[in-house]
Amino acid sequence: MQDSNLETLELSVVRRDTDLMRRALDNALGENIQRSDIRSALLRGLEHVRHQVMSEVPLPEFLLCLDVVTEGLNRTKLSEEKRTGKNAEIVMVIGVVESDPHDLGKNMIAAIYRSEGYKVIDLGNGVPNKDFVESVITNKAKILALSAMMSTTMIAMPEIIREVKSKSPHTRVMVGGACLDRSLAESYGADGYAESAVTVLEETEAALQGF
Amino acid sequence: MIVIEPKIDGYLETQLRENVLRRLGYKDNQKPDPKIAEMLHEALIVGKERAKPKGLFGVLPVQEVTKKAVVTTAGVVRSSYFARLALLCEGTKSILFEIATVGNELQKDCGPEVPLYRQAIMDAVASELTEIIADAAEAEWKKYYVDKSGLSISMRSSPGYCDMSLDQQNIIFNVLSAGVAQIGVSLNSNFVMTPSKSISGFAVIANKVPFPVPCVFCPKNSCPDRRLPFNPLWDTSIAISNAST
Repeated sequence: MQDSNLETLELSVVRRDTDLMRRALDNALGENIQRSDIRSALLRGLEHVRHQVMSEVPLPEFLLCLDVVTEGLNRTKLSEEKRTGKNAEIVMVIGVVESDPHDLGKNMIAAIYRSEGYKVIDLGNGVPNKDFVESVITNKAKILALSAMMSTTMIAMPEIIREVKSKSPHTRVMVGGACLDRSLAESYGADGYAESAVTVLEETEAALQGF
Repeated sequence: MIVIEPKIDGYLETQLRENVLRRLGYKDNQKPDPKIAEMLHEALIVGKERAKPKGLFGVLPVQEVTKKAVVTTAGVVRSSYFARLALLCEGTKSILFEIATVGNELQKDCGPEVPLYRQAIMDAVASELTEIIADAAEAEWKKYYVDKSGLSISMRSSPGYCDMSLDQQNIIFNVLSAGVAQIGVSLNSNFVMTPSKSISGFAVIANKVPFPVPCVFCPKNSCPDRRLPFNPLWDTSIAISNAST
């Protein structure tokens, strides 16, 4: 029964079926299945869909899956509990650089980080350079994730990265956005570049290696 | 300079739904999840109700064209692709400057407190609506100012795309400065427009425009916005025509 409930939970995410998730979650909790196993099942479902996004799953359908996972984690307080797991104590600051109003991509990436247990501090869009630096220092953030969608706004990134690296050398900086690519990200001094929601977690884990 | 307020008719509504689905990653005939379909239906109604479509247009004669820029009385449009298209146009040439917007009401429901799938749908509806409105306003403008005169016009090239840098917004806003308040669009020091769902661009008007877009000069095969194949022969024809003049 335990496996069956966990499989149903995983399936509920793939099918974007909130009702199915709720039933399977109640059953799993009724059977005293470990919360870490419940969390893993939900995230396995999300992982399955995440890797299909580029090929067959349109963006809104993936976001529905993310909604199912988020509700599942919230219903069982797993979103708090799982911070004792793999991503325990990883605080990250995320935001869109100054004068750039485009925050949809940043919101998606923040939701993905949250689902993986990171403690996300979202500064919003149009964030002045100094606010990123202050927030990283105040919150002792291990990761700073910067987003910019325009060629005229992304040029703020190297300065933010330099400031952050000089005041908090162990903070890893991830960058993403429409006009960026890996070589530009490297030239800015970023530790990682995420092309999309599909690769952001792997890229972040790679950047954190040796932290 | 003229302001046009295009209407969103049934044809545009159908086109809008198809374009939004494509923008969101749906392939032809791929049906959205019922929850998404319902949300999209609602977003299209809301989008249509809240849109305040406006287009602003102005035309200036071309003084000179080189392979890198088009010179007008209000400033220089720097883009080698756009300039090479202008070079190949025949007859008296002028440049259309345009800004179109859907207003700022559409983005009320795009904040971070809204579920992400709803944000994504509303954003896509607003973006596509802006494109469609710009096209509709431009079509209406053409009926009176181009078609009657027997002239031809290219499609618009926008700052921030291809090899045209975003700072070219300044020329458009300089030329149309007397009308921007009327359509409610402003430009900040980073060349970002408010409302963000606004479009600006240039088009070439001439007796004969050889092709609508300058894609033929661009070798970037992976470009998702490509509308014509790359053809290096066109550059050769510019070189020949330059040599003979």
